[in-house]
Amino acid sequence: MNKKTKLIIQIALLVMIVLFIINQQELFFTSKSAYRHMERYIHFGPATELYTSDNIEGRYILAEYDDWIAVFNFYQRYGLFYTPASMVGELKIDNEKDVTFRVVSYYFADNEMHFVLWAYAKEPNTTLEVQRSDGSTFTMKSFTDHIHFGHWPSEDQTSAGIRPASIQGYDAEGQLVYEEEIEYNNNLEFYNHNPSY
Amino acid sequence: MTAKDPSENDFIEKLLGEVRFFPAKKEIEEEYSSHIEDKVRYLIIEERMTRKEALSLTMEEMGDPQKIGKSLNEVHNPFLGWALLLTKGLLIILGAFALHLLIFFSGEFLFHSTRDIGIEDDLVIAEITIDQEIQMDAVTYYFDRAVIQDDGKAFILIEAVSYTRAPRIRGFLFNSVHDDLGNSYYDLTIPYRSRIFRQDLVLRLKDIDGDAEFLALEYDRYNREFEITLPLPERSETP
Repeated sequence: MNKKTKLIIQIALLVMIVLFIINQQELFFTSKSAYRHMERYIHFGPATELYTSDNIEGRYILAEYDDWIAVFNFYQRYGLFYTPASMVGELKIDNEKDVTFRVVSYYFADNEMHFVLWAYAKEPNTTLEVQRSDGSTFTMKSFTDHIHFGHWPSEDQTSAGIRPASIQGYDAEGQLVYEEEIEYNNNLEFYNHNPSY
Repeated sequence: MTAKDPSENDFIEKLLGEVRFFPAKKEIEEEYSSHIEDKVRYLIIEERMTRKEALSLTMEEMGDPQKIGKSLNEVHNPFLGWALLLTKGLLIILGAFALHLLIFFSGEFLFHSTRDIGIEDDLVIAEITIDQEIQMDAVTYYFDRAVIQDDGKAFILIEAVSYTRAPRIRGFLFNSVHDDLGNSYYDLTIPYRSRIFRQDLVLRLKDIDGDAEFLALEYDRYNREFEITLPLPERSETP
């Protein structure tokens, strides 16, 4: 066997092995393709991507599909690839409510426990503020006229850290139009709607 | 092995000086040294020459070492040589990793039985074949069978198959799992065994009403829906 043939065989074998590893390890070259893959495996979407965050403070894609708002968390792997994390947090919009809201605590950013919050405000241009258990206020970021999202690291890296305690909504004039206390269920999650849609 | 003569050393050094692919130098040196030695021995034995004479004639017959060295670059092409070495190294490293993945999956396949999900053989009163196939996005779900126990537990075994990507189902929830009497059961379908293009999932239910005649599993999420109805056998006890 001459060297050229040997090289071709070795390259072919290498390509097969690399494809096998990429397939089995759920590796993707972009966060978006990791997200599209995840979408197909949780049977969601195809959703509209609203925002992508790809830094140590949080790697996620915020997406909107029909009546749902979802956050897909992903990791960087082997320096070059992206792989979906296990978190797919979704929020079903409840049009009967002024604000549909959900909170979870999760290892959201490079093994750092975060409180993650989604909200849908029926009235456009509402500002949503979260009062936290340490007395501080967190203003959620708006991604559309209605969709708000935010997260922060739990100070002690447990779900007992600085929790959201209540949520307030303010209209364009700064008037308080909505307020709700946050009480957690046993899984340290909070929904103000029926999660079993 | 006889010590090399200075002229032989000089020849080899000049020859190797022209070879550009250095990992091949050792092999070339051994090959040429052995070739020279064979020729010298032949001349000593067959032509009755002294070692000095034999060596001198051999060196003369070998020709210009620099020319030979240059011509060897065609055989030991540095690009091909490095490419072969690099791909060989990568094959070893990635091959070992792929093997690890294969053993991991086949190991799970070989050693992880359905007993590990909590089925107690002596309590099983029925195995119901469901044999229903649901295609959702990239995954085909085969609802294989249900194992019903006398203590009110049920195990619904599902295979998730995808040939485009290894299926890694993190678990899914039915919207409702209820019986014909209106009792609802908490459900979470979880993976318990992974294979290369397949993942085995189990839906575990407990405290199923002994008077119930069937179970209904309803899935209606994100605009995908299906329903599976499962007949329940009669039980000797009601939990």
